[in-house]
Amino acid sequence: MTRVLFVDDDALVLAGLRRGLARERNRWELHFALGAEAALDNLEAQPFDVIVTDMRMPGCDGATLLARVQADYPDLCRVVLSGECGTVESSAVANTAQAFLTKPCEVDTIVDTIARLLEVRGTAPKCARALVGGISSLPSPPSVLQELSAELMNTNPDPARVTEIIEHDVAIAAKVLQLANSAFYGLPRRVTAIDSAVHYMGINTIKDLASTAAVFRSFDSDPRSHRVVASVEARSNQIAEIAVRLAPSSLRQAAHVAALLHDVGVLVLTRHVQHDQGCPALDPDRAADLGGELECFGATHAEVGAYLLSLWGIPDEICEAIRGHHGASIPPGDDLDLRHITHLAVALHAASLGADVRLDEAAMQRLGVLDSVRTILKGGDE
Amino acid sequence: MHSRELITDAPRTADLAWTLGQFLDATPLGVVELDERGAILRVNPAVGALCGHRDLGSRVPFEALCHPAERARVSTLLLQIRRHERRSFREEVRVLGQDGTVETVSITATAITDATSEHLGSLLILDELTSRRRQEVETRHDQKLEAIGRLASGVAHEVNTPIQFIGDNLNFLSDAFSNVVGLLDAYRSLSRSDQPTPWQQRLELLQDAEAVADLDFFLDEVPEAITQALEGVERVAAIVRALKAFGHPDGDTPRPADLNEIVSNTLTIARNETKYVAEVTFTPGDLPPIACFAGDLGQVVLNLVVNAAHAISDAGRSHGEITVSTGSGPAAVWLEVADNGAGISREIQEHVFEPFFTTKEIGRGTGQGLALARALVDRHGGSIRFESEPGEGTMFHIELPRESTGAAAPAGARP
Repeated sequence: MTRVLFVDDDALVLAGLRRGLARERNRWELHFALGAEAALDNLEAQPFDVIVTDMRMPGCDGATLLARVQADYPDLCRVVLSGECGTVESSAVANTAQAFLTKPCEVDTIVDTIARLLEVRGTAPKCARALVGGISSLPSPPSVLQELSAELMNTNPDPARVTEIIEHDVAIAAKVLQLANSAFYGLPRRVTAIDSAVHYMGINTIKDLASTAAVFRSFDSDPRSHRVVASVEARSNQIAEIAVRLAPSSLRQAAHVAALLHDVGVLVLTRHVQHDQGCPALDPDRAADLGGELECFGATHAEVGAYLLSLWGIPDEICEAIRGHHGASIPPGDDLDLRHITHLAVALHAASLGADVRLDEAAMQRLGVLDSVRTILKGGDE
Repeated sequence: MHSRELITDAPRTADLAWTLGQFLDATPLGVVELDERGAILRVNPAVGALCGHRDLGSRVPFEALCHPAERARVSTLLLQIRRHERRSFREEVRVLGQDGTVETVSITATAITDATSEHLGSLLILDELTSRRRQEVETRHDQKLEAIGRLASGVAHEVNTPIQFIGDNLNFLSDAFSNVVGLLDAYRSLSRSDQPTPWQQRLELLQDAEAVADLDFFLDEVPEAITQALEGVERVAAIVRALKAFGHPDGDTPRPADLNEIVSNTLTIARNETKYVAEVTFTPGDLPPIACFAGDLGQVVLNLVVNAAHAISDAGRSHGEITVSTGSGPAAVWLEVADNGAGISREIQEHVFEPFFTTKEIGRGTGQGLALARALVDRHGGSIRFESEPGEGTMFHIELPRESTGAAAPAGARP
């Protein structure tokens, strides 16, 4: 049975959770640890699927506990249930937790969050789980980080400028959307646009995040990974521009985000490449090699990226568009949605470079645009 | 008027008179000359500003300018000067200001005598105190608000935690109740049934219903769920009470209060600042109520306790200890706050009570904590000192007089 471990330094909170969640005890095996040390003992004794921890605890705190869990048990889903909200301390777990809840939190919300993480994890390919589990942040090019921190250092940072910088960086955009969609900031609905995320979180929160080590970070010293990050960033921005032009106005912002984040999986895979070896499947100078990725990693960058972002609570429609951005997975349906737009933008971009184009012809046929798309693709230009 | 030199050095009497006249016109101090019977002879313009532009021409007695409740006291004091029973006095007095407002002024009165010590009259100097007093109160209130603001997130955490388990337990009780209702329905349908059901069958039906309702589990858990939810409510209530007591503005006069209660309220509020770094032990002594400004003393205790917590986290101790104790001696009550934190290095020991002196990084302290603590203790006529061993810890010791002394409240404000 699925095992969930709750960690808190207050015995009454644990007792309350045990009773409040009693109706779930036939579905999940619930365990309760008083403090981080007890939690680590529990984790050592038997395998768990989810950990839900308080933040501020005497001795080892929640952030430290989750960092250890992330390193030692990467496949465990990590949730924070904290009495703090939107403080510097919450930035400290921005990098280690996948979901954030604040006390007081309804039992139903706790149950839904755990169920969502378990479902996302359960439906992901096993290899993708192994690849994504330990990942908590993604790399940005150093120049973007410098630009962002320079703007934030101003006495009055311009929110429009901050938004613009974030909108063009894959890693920071993903992290900001993750946090904006978490309970930490108590936003009423799912956020799919960067400008509303920045608006709701506020410049000061972005500042806190930027000053917390490694929430926004550049890549390690390997020059090969620098090249991958730079090429993903450039390509994603070009494709995002195409996607925005393809999208009807109601989908424009979400289309931008989906296209910007579509290659998040490449950044994840790059991290698993041995420094000295490199991986031909991730050659930044060549088109995506899905077969090579499967062979090398057991999962494609599309699957891995979609899984990471689902764990992070990014809205489903965006994750679905990312999962299907190379086509062949768009199920029947008549309406144009994010999946078609992202896929088409990727295809058009590939065609414009003269690369191989994979097109989900069935999906385009259903939309009734197959012929015109073919004409455009043959022209080799958008 | 401190310029004896000015007067003796002045070359000519006419110049001196002119200079004095200029001075009297310009000074914000009110200057009143009374005749030998205590009636007003002359005033400078500042008196008009302080006491309203009333016609003071017809030798009204000075008491007429005072608040009715002050008149008898002022009369007695002035009479004592006229009778040579005292040479001067300095008192805080409420006077009637413009538009019927009441202003508090400090009055310094001196007898004017001739060479043979014959009483010629009195000279009164009035110094306005109301706005200065108000400013002091506002500054103190600001500092208290700042302290509350700093504690707010900690207090929110302290409240959110019990609310979490109160909610969880209530959710559970609601589940329990609907299960019990389900079970009751089973009992009722059997007891009201017209059908002659055999005993054995009834028993089985009820046992099944109890199993479905998970009765044993709920019977075990419900009493504790109720107790713990109530405990949570009490926790929240204690925090709210402590906040209320802490945030309550002090009046103008000291009031009898229990120092132990002040300490325990403050420790409740500061709990979130301390509990992750230290075990806090409070040993209350047997104390008489003391006349004090309870909010001020709460602020003092808070500053010392938060400092202690910071000192412990600076020292990186895994087992921090903060010990707070109180007790009483023949003339004073005392309060000690001791920690096993980083201690205060010898070089800075003499500076710690200076305003804006801080070793803390930005955002953690304004450097006002100990300076303010000392000012507030001074206000009670008490004393504050500390012993510190770098690397071992620090102990602050405060003594407060059992009886409120003149230093606690201005004489004029006392009943």
